[in-house]
Amino acid sequence: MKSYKANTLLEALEILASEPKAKIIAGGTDLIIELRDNNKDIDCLVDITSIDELKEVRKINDEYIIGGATPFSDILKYNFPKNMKGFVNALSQIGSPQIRNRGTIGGNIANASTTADSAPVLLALDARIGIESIRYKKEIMLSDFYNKSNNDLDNGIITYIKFKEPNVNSFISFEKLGYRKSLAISKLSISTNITINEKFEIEEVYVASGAIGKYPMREHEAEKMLLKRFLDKNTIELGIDTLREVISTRLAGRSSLEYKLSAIEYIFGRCLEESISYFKRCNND
Amino acid sequence: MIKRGKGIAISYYGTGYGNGYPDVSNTKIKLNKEGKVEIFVGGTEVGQGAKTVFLQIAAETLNTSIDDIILFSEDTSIMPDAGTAAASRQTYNTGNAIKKACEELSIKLKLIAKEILNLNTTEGLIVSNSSIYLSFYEEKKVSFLDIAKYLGENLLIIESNFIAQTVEMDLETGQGAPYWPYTFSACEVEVEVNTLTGVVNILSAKFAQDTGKAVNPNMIEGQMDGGFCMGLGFSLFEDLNIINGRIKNDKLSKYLIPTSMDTVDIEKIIIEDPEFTGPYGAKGIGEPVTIPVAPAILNAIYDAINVRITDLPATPDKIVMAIKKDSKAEDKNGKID
Repeated sequence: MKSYKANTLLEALEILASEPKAKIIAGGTDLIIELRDNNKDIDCLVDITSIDELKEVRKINDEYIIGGATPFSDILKYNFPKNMKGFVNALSQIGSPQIRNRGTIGGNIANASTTADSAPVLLALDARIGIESIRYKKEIMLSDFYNKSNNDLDNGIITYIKFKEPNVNSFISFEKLGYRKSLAISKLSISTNITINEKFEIEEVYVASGAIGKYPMREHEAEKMLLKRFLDKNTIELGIDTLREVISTRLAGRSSLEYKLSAIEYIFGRCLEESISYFKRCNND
Repeated sequence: MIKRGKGIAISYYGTGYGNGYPDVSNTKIKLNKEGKVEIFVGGTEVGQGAKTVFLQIAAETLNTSIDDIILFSEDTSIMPDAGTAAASRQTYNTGNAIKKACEELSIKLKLIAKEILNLNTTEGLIVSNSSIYLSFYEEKKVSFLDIAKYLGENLLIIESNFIAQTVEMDLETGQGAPYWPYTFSACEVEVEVNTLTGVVNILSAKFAQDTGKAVNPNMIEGQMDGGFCMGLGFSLFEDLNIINGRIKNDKLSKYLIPTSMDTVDIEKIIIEDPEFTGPYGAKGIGEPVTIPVAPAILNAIYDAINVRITDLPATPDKIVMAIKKDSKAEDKNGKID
């Protein structure tokens, strides 16, 4: 196994172009385990942890831009606004402190696991990702990256993740179900991004899920059901029922279906309830 | 949705191999040329604290500091067998063997001291801090080093053993006294169960452990913390998932054990009721600290959701499915209000 440590992005891209069986390594928290099981197709590692431009968290105007190789604990040092609670919540629940120190946000996306903890909240934030190779440079929607059946990076690097700062009347929520409190692989996770108007109606809504599909995805049916409705208990129930119907079809025949339908009620319900109590607190302030 | 419950469980457990099986701990001790006491014993340290306890028991018996005692263990080429570090038996069995050997060493040392100090008898001689002196006339004193020099090449070596007393059960009637002594434990747990996700959250826990005599209270508390985590893992997390004889959960990412986040600060209670056959009253606690934990947790879950979980581990999906099955059965039989 060859290994390179790239000092600049260009250097990394050149190596990737010349080494067809190369893999990018940043935190290695997923890759090292994969190498143990399957290393036939990999003969070279390109370490990108020294490339400073890939490790920055910046806010330009109303947009956050996070470098692909930024470890989760570095992102968590940034002071995000209160209504981004779900984003902070999702990142703080990843693995353990050690995993968060090593694991990077770009790696979490590139690994494309349905249980990736950062994915639902990034989808709810309608994030875009920058991908760069020696031949091309593009920016695509994260949802498109996941929706493609083969999310091949084609010798490219996820250079950044970008999303708009939520409006003051928006709230990001995230809930995860794991079988233990730390180092838990997600059994189900949901993130919501809800914007309300002064009448407490849902003006804009994003719902994204993890571990209840082949990849993390937006839940458009549930979004449609919630949109323009008054944000209250009835709406929560409608939302839950819709999502349960969708999942019943999507996971039909799976032994875990009945359990997940039960858990969805709590996990999705919590996201929406937390949003209600946040907006009520804002109204009272 | 979130339901609370409390559960308690009690247990008793026999120390040692039991049922008349030969349960022997051997030890050899030596006064070396520097006047230090060397203990050779095959009792294995597996993290439970055997080496510390052996040194403490020897130091107590020889009325000296543990710094004056050198312990050699886990090397079968230079020491006799002290049996397995199993059956919660090392403190009791090997502790007794070491105590016996040190007592015999004291007697031998006093006889030699009598010779060196030119006394009529060993009466009134005190062993203390690697010396022997006459209790009412401390000027008559000889150190272990002096004794070692006096003995020269004829090193003083004591070999001793302890054999636990147990009785084989009558094969016909099943009657008898298969174990001695017994150790008693009690555990109390309060949990929160989420009836939709099946997640069990431990809110608080108490553990009371009968120790006979707590040779090292800090280490016993450590054992209680560790035993609780093992019981917690057994009841809620650990699953080898054996399918057709193959272990499917063969990674620590799949074979879950509790993390520090999953446990709580346990209120630990040490109960001392010295056992007359134990070294300074001590009994084994290695396994007892785990035994009542799982039943206490499962009783607490039952108290919370009114459904018995009988298949371990009680993972969230099993709990949810058990609740669903129970409510379906209730629907059939008509709800009793």
